[in-house]
Amino acid sequence: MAYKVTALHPIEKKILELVGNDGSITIETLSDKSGLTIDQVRRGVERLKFKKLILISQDFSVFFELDDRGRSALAHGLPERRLVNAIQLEPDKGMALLAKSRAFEKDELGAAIRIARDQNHWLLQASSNTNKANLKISQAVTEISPEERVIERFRSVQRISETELSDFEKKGTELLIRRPNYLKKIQRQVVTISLTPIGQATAAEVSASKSAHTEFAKSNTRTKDRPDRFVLDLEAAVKTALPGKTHPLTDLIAEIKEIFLSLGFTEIDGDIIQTSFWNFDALFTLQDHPAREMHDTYYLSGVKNVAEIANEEQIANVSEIHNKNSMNAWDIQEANRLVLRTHTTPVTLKYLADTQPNEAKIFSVGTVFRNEKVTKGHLSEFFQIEGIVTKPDASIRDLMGFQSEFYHKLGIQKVKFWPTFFPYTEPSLQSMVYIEKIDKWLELFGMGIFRDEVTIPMKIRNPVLAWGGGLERLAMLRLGIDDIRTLYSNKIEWLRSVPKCQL
Amino acid sequence: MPVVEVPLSVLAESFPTNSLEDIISSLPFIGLDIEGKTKKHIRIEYNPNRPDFSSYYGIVRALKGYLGLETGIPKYEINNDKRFKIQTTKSVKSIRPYIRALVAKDRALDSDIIKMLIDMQEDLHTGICNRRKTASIGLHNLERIRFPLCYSAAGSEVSFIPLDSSQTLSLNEILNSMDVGKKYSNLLGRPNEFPILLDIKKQVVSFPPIVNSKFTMLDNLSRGIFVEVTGIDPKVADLISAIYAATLSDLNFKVYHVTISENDGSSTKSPDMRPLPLSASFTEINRCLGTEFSREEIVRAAARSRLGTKNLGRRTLTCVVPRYRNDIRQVRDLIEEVMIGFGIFKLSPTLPMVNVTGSRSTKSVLIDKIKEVLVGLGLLEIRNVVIVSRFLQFESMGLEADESSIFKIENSLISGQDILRNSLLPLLVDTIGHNVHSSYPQNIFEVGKVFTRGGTETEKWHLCVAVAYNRADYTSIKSILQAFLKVAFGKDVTTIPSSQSGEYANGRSADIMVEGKIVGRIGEISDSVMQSHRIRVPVAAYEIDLSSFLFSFRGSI
Repeated sequence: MAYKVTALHPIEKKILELVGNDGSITIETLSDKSGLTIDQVRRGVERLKFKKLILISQDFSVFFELDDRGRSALAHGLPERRLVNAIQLEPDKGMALLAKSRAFEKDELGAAIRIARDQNHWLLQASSNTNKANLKISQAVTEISPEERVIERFRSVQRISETELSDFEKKGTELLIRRPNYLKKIQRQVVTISLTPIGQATAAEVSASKSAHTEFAKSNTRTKDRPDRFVLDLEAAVKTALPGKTHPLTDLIAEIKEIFLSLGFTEIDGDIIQTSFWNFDALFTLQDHPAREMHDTYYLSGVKNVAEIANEEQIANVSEIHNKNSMNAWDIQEANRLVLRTHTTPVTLKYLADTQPNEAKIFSVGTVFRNEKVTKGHLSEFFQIEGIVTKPDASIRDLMGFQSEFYHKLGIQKVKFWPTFFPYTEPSLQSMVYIEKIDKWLELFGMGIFRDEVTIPMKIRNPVLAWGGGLERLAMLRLGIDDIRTLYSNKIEWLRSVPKCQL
Repeated sequence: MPVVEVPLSVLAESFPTNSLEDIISSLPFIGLDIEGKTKKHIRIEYNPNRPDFSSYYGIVRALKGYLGLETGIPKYEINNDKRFKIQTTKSVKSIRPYIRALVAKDRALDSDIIKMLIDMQEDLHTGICNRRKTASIGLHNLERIRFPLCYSAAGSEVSFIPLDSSQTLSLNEILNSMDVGKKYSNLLGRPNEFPILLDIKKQVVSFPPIVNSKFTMLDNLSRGIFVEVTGIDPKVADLISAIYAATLSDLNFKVYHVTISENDGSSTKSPDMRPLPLSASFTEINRCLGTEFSREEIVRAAARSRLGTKNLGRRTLTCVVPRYRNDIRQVRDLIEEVMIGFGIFKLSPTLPMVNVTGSRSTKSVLIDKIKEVLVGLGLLEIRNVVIVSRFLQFESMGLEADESSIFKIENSLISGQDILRNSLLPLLVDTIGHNVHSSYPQNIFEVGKVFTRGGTETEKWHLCVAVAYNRADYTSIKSILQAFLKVAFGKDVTTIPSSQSGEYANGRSADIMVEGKIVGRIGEISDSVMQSHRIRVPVAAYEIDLSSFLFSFRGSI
């Protein structure tokens, strides 16, 4: 089947025709034969390749040119030839005198003897004595060496392509290349163009349909109005415009926020750098708890006086609770230490402590940190989604209800709950959700009711239901990726390619 | 989270009437995760608040309750034998004051049991023992020990053959040459006072928390076990001895008390298996769960969680909690046990009315609007991490770090990646440098937090825009800046030639001024920065501090 000839640009047609004639052709030859510039040919070739009409093969072609000594050899003969000539002229002169005669450059004579004797066999050793004066001219001296043949070829041309060489000459180039400054080997990339089967059919139609094109042009008003324009290829693929767009995580965050808003939740945000007091102590994570250790939490140099960010009563209450539950006395210095928050809950808790709401529904989506190695499945910086409800008599079934409703709005229908443990909630649950797309149950958000040890020091009256989890895991499901690092790789092509609407 | 590898044979023997499938599918409902399964074993992950799950029999015990096969508090008979006694001395009180112990005998050991006991010991050591700091456990061959024992402090010259060694070593040699010695020597506060447990023949039984004696090592021929727990927290030591006592009883060992005689003349019996009472009102339980359970249902659920439920009042549920659990101390803990005993899957979710309305934070509203404007200008959003390297942030940008204003991370796992970004530009340049094979123009932006120490505001929102293509220059980026400020805030911008700075080319950068206030900088990226990022097309960029816009935006009419 041929490509629609009418949809080809005149340049494309010309190229097709020429390639069709020659079978395969280089860009340079195309330019010569068509009268088009190299750039025009290149662009035409690119388009034809895109339309799958031509094949492009890139090869290296090798050329030889004479170098300094090679040019000198062309004029005066190769040193080994000059050597045998000299010996023939004055058989008794001896090597020592030859060396002094300045007919040879310093390093030439030794090589000349070796080549003349060992390689070309122009000289024979007259006796077992290796004295060089004992070298005699042999019969073979009349034979032209491969190197001489190659040098000779340059008498008429500047440059010889490797493909033009006979085997004998090839051997000559190999030998000459090994000798310094005789021959230059030049490699150049050559682009050869040939036709695909469709291209061949199309090329045949191009030659046959030159008149048909004129017919078509007459019936096309656009080209009639603008005779300088060629017929437009309405089917041709074109370059995709580069989009401006938001990051896929931004889009998912917007959706999550929308869900919370639809359920009547209010957004809060807060600092990424937190004191250990709000990140741990106020959330009843004892000072010797493993979660506080260096291998889980990023500690920053410097401290912040807790008194600046918590009132005296809050500090005293937290201290009391800790002292009641730990062997070690609560240390305010430890609470002053700065951390990159390990969850968004310190922000939520401070909000509840500051505003003392009787009823509230709040949420946040913010970056949290874990001092972990970044792997296919783990990041050290990621987004946490958190939802909080407080009201009189808030119950576990309510918590399950909010969580289920949240999931339903994400399109997750099947949810089940299992008991688990978190330091600052009791009872604590984890949720398992069934993801239809991958036919699997996955563990998603964790949840629970804030422990009294958390609420009482902050004078929070009513039970606080809390749930939360990572955003990136949802993003992976949404986008169908299995390496979490992709989300922060900032690969521009990937970012451009992710559809805004996942169908 | 800790993992225990339970042989499927133990589950099959313990639950002869249930299918293995049923048993395994019940595990999550008592708070256990199935981590993996082989032909012979199941790997079960448990939460750190349940050290009793370090033993197969702890899991079996809980599961029997949950399945209704054996409910209520397990009964353990602990026997007495006057011979089993440990005398403590005053000398040890200031270094590792507490010791608890128990004896289990009259049953042969086998390698499976020994493996479980040692696995338990390791899990407990890393978990509740806080890597042997809070407490440490020694398991010994009872037949090798001559009671009474003495727990006291010794000097470094004392010597014995430790486990995993073939020669007699002094305490100092153990601390300096053995791996366990080097690993845990920091737990011993004083240089020449070490806790030591000796038997009547002055044979060293154990050098806690470092190593046991080789002489008392458990083997398949042992017919009795001596367990000792030493530490700085008596509650943890009590808990561990109760966990071992329960497990060994479940294994049909005859378990004996060990009398601990303190230096002040008092004495206690270990292990202490007397259950502790805890009560909650039925109303409170129902309110927290959102249920309307009858008293009987609640009592049954508590019993399924292996709590004792005598003394049933009209309004109040009074339970007794077995001593191998220390995670049930408050009403809320008890409520969770009732929830688990009842079966969570039986609770249906409810969605209550809460009389509040929802709203976005104005900050996030503004940031979204800013992004919308930038996207309208054809820009692509990127997202970088907050923790960066000094090299990327400063050196690659030809900048000197101002140490006093940088937030440093004290304990980064990746060497070099240890400061918080204080501007976004280096990250955008880095992104362009990593995308040299993508098509141009690459017009990108990031909105994110940057961090500066010492100022009034440590966390600020910045916006950075960068354009990279063959004709990117000062004019093209200023045109984008101008459009952005006009479209986003209706503001005009003035650019004032700025002093030379490493990231921008000489004479090609300016300060950005909006309403008389400098909010950022704009310019063409310098050649040396381009070289260090291997970028071959020109890049122009601007970065502004969004604080003043965030401050004045109200989002109201």
